[in-house]
Amino acid sequence: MENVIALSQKLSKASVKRYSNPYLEFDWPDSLPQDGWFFSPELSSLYATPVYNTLSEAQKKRLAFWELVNFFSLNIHGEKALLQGLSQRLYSHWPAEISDYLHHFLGEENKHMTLFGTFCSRYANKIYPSKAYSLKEEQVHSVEDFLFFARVVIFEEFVDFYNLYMAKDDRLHSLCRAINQYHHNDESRHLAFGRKITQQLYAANSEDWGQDTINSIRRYLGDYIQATWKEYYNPWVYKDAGLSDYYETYLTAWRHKNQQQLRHKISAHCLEFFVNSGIFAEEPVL
Amino acid sequence: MSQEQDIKNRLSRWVAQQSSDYQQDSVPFDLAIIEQRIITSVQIMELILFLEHLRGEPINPMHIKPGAFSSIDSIYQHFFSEDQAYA
Repeated sequence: MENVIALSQKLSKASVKRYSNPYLEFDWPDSLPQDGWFFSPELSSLYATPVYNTLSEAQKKRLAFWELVNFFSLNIHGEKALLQGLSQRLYSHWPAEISDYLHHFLGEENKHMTLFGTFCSRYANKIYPSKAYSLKEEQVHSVEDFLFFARVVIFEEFVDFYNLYMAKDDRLHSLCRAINQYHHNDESRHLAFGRKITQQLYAANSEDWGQDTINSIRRYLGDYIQATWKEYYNPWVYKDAGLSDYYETYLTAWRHKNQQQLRHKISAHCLEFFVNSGIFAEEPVL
Repeated sequence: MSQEQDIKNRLSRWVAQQSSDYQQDSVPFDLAIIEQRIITSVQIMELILFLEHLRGEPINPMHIKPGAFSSIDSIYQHFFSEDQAYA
């Protein structure tokens, strides 16, 4: 844990230095323009599929708005799970320096959620429910800790790709860009911590777990990656965007080769980490 | 065919299609599909989307009671019957 402690201290200092107050930093207009872009079109879950090519520019923009609401909604659900897991691990069996950083991690995630929640409630009047449903399986403590942080890395690696891309996309509304930039600023620290502790927990425990548990961990994480991706393809987004046959649209989009390529591109950095750390023997199917 | 029979048939065929190990076109309505690992955790999400499609409205997984996905019978009871547990 020595290297995790050292990193925690460094990240805690950076969090103090970059402490921010989103309640003062953001202006929330009463309404948003109907003719703006709110989600980079190339990242749309329908981009480069047959249905996307039939849409007018106005329809693409409407779809983009609901894609952003879905993206912010899935961030809220991911961060709710994160807050629960982080608070369970505060002042537990790890050195105090790690708890010091977990306080920053928790505080920053809570602030992100207020931004996502405010946007969705104010401009969409809804937060899409998550479709994640887990069948409870008892795990030994060390496996639970490892899987928690591995899920954090997967979730945050994917959202950070979107955050960074959209923060730089000057076609997007300034509020949308600012929220993505704000999230990215903190996520780079969270990812550094998540990667380090995931590697550490795997290295320290994998020999004791045995091959059956490692195989089960690999299957679980492969499934988790796929389930995480499925949250980006939401039939109710397509319905809200005015598309008919929204369930068929979901099935077609999920299976389309251009979307599979997009998922591979966005997942590449994350999968490289898991393969290089020895956690995955090979990349899972996306 | 009653609406109940139709929905259960569709669910039964859908579940059978999800499992590469299951050799039949449909599963018995009382088969323990979770316990026998016909359906895995990640496929539950897909199943929820299929149920939403059949119901024509979204489902919030937070409101789903334990045991809802045990079998085709329990899925029907939970999501489609008049005294459904999921409101």
